[in-house]
Amino acid sequence: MPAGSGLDLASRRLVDLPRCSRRSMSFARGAAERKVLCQSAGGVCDGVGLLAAIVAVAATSTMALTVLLAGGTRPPPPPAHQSLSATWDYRPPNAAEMANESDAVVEAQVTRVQTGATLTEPESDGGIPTQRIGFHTLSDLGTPAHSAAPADFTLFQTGSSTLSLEGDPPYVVGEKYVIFLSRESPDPTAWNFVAPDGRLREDIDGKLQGLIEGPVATELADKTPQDVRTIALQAKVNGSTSPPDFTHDFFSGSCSMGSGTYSAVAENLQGMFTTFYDWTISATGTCSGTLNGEVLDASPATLRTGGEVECSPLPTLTTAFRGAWTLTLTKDPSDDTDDTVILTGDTSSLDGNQGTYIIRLYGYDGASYGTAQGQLTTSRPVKCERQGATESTVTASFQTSQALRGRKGG
Amino acid sequence: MLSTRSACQDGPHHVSRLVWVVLAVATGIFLGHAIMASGYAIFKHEGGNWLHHHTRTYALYNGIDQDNPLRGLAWGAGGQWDQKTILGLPGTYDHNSARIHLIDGTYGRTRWAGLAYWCHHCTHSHVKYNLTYLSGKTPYYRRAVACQEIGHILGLDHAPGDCMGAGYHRQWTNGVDSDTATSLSNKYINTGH
Repeated sequence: MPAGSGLDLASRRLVDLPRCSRRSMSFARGAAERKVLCQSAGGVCDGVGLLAAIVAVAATSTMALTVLLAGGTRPPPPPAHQSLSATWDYRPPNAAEMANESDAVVEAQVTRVQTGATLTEPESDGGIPTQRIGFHTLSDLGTPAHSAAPADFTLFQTGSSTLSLEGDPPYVVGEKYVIFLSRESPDPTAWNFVAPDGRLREDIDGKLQGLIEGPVATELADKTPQDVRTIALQAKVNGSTSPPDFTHDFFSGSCSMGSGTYSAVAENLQGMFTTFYDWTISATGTCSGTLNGEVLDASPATLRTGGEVECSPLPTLTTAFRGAWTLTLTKDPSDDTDDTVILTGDTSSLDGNQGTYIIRLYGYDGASYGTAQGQLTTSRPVKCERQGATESTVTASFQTSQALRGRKGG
Repeated sequence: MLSTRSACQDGPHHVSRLVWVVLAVATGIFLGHAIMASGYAIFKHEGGNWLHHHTRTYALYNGIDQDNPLRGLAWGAGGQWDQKTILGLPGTYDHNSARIHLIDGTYGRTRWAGLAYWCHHCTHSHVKYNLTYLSGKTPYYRRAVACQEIGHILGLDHAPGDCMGAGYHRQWTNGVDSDTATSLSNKYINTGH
């Protein structure tokens, strides 16, 4: 502040005040002491006190006026970081649709932040700053077959270290993100996010948080990259654009069951021309493929299926069996953690005769949610006998033609 | 004016009463403003500042290309803010005196269709429209974007119900809602602008 300013003037005047006035203006001392001091000074104290008050008011007014004239109309210093409002071209209603619009979905870590070329327009006013963000991919969470998740990639971003768009704040080296990537970018060498909703920061606990308010941020709040993998797989396999319910698992691949048992027990309830059987199959072996997007390589698996069948007394031994099924998969048997996933469905079938059957498993809620088909053989032909039970050992192998959707949890 | 004697004699009790009176008056003023300013609009703040220009007159410099239909849509959007609020948004051909400067450009696939440069007590703000996206959109949507970016410069944040909700809320239109206009006007009045 320059010499002679209001503050300086006020300070000087206060210094020159009579002793009693300075005391009377201080409330630091006790009330009784102040009263004694003032009474002892009598009228002199009153007069000086009044003068002091006038001077103080004048000094304060001068100071306020000085501040107003000197800097009152000046804008405050600019903030360290400026946020621009943005109207984004695409705001997805849910994560599944966003996954379908993406060219890749990855979990990645920021490795570098660099200044990019400025976006300019005919009426140049300095243009719009951009950045290029270097990433290293940690895991592929859902990239379609025709594409490939990049091992390392550069992301385009509008903004700079001091200016960013609402919902797309600056990146910091070391941060982890789940990003729904698009190849569309002003820079042909850089990727872009498909929408600001497709940038989710991973916190220290591995939970995701969106950076722009919206339905996707709400849907994916506190989810994990593995949850996103499930969503992406579901969306890409089924073309689903509806939000996932996280109540289903998805298996895609093949299974080989080397040993098992088959039994069919005739019930007492018999019709005039038919016999009702309860049949069950239990077989163990291995499955390979992907479970919720994660690779399975000869993981232990158990298939159980069974139901009720109505056998006709006709001479043909062709039979058809229908019933529910469960497929138990253990992702990593060497891991102590419980990573067993049980898929269940309400429809399976065996068709054939003479010990060779076609086995079909249908995804929960019907064939539109995936199918698996293969061959099942029994050591003895299964017959619709009117009495007793048929037991046999079985082997089976089947392969999904469409990712098998099973209800989570068995 | 308080005499020195009375201040001396009453001591802390008098000061205490004075402090309480001042606090009560300040609280009343604050609450009154808050209630009057409340409405459907949401105001943009950053660093404790309500981001707006310190004026009621926002001269509009429409730098959008003459042949671009967006130019007419932007004029219309500015006109609606002018008509429905206490603010003035007169058109100007003088860049230097303009408060709001509209710019169009083909910036490429940046993912954003419009940008507004927020600021606190500044005198000139830019709004940028990305034709890469807007050229393929309906006039209704383009008008909404034009309206929203101007609304940001006036001090508004995103809110459902009118153009301030486009791209952020399910409920949006391409114009200025009466509730938004009233809330914005009250904000300027109650904050002494």
